[in-house]
Amino acid sequence: MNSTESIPLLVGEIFVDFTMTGPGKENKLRLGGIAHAARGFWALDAPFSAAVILPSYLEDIARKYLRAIGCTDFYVLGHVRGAPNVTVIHDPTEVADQEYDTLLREEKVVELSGIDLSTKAYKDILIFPGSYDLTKVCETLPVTALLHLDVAYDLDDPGILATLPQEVRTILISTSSPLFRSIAEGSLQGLTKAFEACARATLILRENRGGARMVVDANSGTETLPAQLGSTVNSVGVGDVFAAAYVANSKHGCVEAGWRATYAAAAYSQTTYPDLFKTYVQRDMRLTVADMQQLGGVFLPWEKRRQYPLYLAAPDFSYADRQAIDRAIASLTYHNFIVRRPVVENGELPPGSNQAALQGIYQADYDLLRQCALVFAVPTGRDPGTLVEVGIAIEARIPVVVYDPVRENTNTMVMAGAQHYSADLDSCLNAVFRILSGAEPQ
Amino acid sequence: MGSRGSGRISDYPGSSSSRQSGGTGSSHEDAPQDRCAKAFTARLEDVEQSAYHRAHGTTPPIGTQLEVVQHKRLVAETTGGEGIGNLPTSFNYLASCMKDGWRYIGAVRSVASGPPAATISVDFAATPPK
Repeated sequence: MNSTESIPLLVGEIFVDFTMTGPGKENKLRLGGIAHAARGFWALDAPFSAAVILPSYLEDIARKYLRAIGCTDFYVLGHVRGAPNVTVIHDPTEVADQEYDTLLREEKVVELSGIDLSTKAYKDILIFPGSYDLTKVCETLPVTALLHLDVAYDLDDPGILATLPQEVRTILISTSSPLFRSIAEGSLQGLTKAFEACARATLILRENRGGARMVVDANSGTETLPAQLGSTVNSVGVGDVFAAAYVANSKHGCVEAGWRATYAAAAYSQTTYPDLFKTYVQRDMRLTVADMQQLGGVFLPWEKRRQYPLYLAAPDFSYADRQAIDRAIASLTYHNFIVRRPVVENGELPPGSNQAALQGIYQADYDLLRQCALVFAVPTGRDPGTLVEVGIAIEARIPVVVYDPVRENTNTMVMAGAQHYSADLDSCLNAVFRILSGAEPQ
Repeated sequence: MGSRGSGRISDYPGSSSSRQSGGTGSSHEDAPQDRCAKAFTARLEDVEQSAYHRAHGTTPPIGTQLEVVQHKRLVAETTGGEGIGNLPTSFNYLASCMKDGWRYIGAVRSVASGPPAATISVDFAATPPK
């Protein structure tokens, strides 16, 4: 057997990921693009080879780095011209859109090197599409290889996958993907239809904090893969690690590969220290699939989130300090929740309104609250109306999550009565997923 | 370059200091500490369905000694072997820590009978493998 036969080939672009943080905090710089997936292979002690597209200034850096984490053969498939392949990341925790900003992206051109890998004996190839011609690249790869494609980004036409010379074995995509949001009608069913030309492929939809679903083939059922939610340190590249861990474990079958991928992805989100990440991944390998299935996790599919209306208890007034409120709304809507906003829906009364007007709004807001699955409270400025709404929800046994960004409501009734209280939006978002994961739809 | 943490790529295996010029760690992450070694506080789930609540009709007193065990889910159990509630699944990583020999011993910190439901907060400290 050729030595390369049993190890996967990783194909895609290399970036520099630069995460900007606030004043006085240490910014974060590391190799991105397929380097995330490479770390996943390394953490699993799975050697790999890489065929990369990158700016020439990064070539030595990337070669040295990937070699250090277990890359056996390093090929340069092409060069990026006109742009540094630097991605600036504003929100590494993805409580809302991560707001990637790739510098000089409109000037970027990829020139393929013409290298031919078609005679190499790679059996599994994990590809991350990018600003390059996917078909041309696949024409340079061994035709007998099985392709695993992570199409979350940089794929506009799903139909192109069926025209590639190799068999597509796995398609991975994310609910964060522009492709998912544009073609799939926001559902797994829509996604299956969009990729029906590759019906033999296993389709995996990663649903961020809500877990993942896996359709092994179009005629079988769906495997659910709950998320392992912890405190998010950095979610950039988590999906890429999922893909690498899935491919590395695919020899054990789709189900085990899916579960192990979920655990590896969770570990990657919880530390950016490589050795610690590897320790976590190696330790998780001691768990059996049965262990993982029994432990459970958080599972809340993308479409189902719409069945759990969230009541926004907050001084959601036009004149209020809206920073924390807007951040919470952006976060919840990004994750496909319906946020019911009583002030917007039922009206904002002017100061000095009469009792009849106040009574009408009170009743409408109260009725709306009782229709909701959860109350998400942002009691900025110790807003009395918000705190009353929290009390009504507690008494009505409607779960309450309190996001108190400057901890100005550290009150016994608020902190103990709510299911979750935190100054951290990431923590509050996790709580929403965790609470609704086991709830009945409204 | 003026800004810390952007001088070079340094998240190589074996590099553990966040004070290297490349910024091995992240601004959101203090010095690396194995999650298995961390003490924690948790609010238990399914308290009213627990073995203890079913047997005694109430929650255990504050200070009751506990250990984390795995019975499918991770459970906080008294020294008498009665489960008092499940740990939230965000603590599932403890299962692999326990396979490595870590133990988690703690006590009931606070209890409330509800409404909406009985709740128990617990504190646990980590004991490393022998």
